[in-house]
Amino acid sequence: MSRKREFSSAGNRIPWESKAKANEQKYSQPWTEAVVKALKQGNGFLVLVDSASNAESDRRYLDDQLAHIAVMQSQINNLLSSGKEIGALKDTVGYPPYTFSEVNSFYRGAVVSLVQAWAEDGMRTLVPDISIYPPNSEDERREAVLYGIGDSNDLSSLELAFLTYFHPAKFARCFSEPTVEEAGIGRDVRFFVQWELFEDEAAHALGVPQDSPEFDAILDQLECQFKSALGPAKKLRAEGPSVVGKGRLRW
Amino acid sequence: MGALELLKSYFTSRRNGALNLGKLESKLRTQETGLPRRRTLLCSVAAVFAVTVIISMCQRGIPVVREYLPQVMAGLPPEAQWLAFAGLVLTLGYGGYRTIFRMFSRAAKRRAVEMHIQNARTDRKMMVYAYGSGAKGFMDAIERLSQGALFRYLYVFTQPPLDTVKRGFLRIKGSITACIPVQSAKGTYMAAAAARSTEAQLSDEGHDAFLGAIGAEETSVEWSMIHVGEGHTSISCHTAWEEKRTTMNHSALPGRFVVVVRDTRDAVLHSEEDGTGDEELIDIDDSPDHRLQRSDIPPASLARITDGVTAGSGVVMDRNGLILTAAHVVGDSASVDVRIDDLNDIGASVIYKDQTTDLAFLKVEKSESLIPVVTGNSDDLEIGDRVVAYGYPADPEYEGMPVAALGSVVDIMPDGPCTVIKSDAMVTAGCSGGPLFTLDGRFVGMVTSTTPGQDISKLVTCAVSSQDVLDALDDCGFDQTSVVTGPDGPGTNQQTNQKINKEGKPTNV
Repeated sequence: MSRKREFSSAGNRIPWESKAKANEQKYSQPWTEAVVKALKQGNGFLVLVDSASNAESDRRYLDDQLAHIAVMQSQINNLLSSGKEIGALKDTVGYPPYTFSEVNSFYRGAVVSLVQAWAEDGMRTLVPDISIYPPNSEDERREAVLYGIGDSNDLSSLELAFLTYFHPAKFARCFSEPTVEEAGIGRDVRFFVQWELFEDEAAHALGVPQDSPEFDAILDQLECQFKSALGPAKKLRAEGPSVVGKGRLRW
Repeated sequence: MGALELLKSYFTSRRNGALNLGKLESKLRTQETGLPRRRTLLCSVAAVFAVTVIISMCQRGIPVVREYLPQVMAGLPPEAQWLAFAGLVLTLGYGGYRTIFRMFSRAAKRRAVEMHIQNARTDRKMMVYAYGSGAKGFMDAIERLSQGALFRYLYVFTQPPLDTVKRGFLRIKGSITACIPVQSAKGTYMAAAAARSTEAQLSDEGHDAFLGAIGAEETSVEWSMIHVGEGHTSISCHTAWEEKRTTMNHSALPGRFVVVVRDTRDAVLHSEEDGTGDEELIDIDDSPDHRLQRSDIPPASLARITDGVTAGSGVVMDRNGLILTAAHVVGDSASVDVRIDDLNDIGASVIYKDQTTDLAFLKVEKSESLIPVVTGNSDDLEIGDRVVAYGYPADPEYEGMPVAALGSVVDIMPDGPCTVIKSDAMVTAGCSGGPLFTLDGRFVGMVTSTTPGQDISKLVTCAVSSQDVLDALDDCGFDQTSVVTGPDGPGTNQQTNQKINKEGKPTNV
């Protein structure tokens, strides 16, 4: 028995289909319970990241990326210059599983080279083997939140390039000016993206089969959160552009 | 922090009711599990001993100096006397200055942090809760990123295992970080459950003390960072999962961003029978001839070697019962016990041992059930190539479970008695003698030791190249035709069951 899942009101999407069977046993993995409990308590986003290996360099890289993202979010949270407050993102995007992209730098006037890099390698995420490419069709568009710290004009250029190239299904931005302490470090924009993961990608990131009860329990919780956020009359509206680009390559 | 800022911080008075880091740390320290108390006791005893020794030396030394110093000085020219006197004064003065400055500087920095937190009370904050041994890595990353600066808006509350935290409960670099270490779950299930229960209670109390002290009850963004893993970075979690533990034992977790870090990749391998084998963990070549299969490695080709005193690893070289291991694993023993494929121990005789190259060969009964490794050509290895090291850690926490570690070749040292392949595929004690494979499943080396790499803070794994292993076989007169080699591997590409030729056996056996 299968049913369609709904994490967001972002229009036509790749169908999320529950493969849970009626007589399936309840999940037994303690980590599933931990994740579901944490999601319930904060009504929060699920963000999946993964180390490429247990080599010291790979673990250190992931730790550095997460620390960088946490610090950036803390700065944006304290001093938002434009876009949505992080605490209010739930009004804009839905509850599919997400991952973070790597933290990137953007230099003034480097839009072309940035887009070229996206075209060649996609936007690398913190799930190894998954890079984000522009969508091939309407149902391959993803939800995205763009976080950035830097000069407001540069951030506007970055946002325009991002929207034009990736055509997110739903989009929010969280921008902040650099802090006084950072003024001497560099004037480039630092940014990362909170990307939606599709079902197969999320299962890959968690290291479980798509039809496992653990995966199903987590997705059930996310779906439940979306429905409770939606409410009886409230409808979310996609902010992303309607133009569909070409080509979404998967890992 | 400059001297002027230190002075300013030091002489800034603490307002009534203001944060006192020392008190907060002592509050958090009471959550700890006895180690600091023992450490404090030891330090006190050592200090008393040191003071006694110094007084004793002074009592005996001063009369001697008074007696002999004028005689020695009188023998020197006046310039030398002045120089000696000045040198003595300068040395004593600098030593005293450094000691006092360190004490003063530490106190001033703590005051600076207190002021910083005090000022940050009105800011909006973000809290990160990190659990498991991965928390240590995250804390370190925050410190690296901060480069000594203080992040006013980020607080981290972590619960790393006790053995990953040497000292420090409230970090003052990077973000403001409280650290409540947890004990690894060891022993019986009941003991582990009791430890978890105590930890949960202490953690809650420590968490409340931390939030209250830094004024972070109201935070705007919260991360709950959960490490889902059974691997090298989450060894404690691995034990915990077996004992049905969840790292989310904290009751005050908002979790607005639930960041799930999966660090299990190619870490601890399970047998297929227990249903937790994960064939997707290692990105391996699917070429049918050389596929690295879980059913083969381990446990089929990996051996566990014990001589009653030491334990190590080994690898099956052929079906005639030739087992390769490290010479230091067998030590002086003439016979050892070998366990292959998780079956019972079988006796093996040591037929070759070379301390120079650390290679040793064992002989067990010939058996068709033995599955030999496919030997690759270690000469083709280049720096940066991905490799996997296997072995049986001696750590009782693994309880005979084989582990694999993925890494990259960081150096190849052809000079010396044998070619040494250095990689960052980190294995622990007990993995000596274990095999090193390429990602397509070719045996390219035997793990012997770990050593500091170019970055001395990191250890790298050293392995003797497979070419040296084959050379040793050749030198000893062993028949290499029974060793399975890949198409581009060294030697012949045959798999026969010829008996080992023991003629020409070296004298050091």
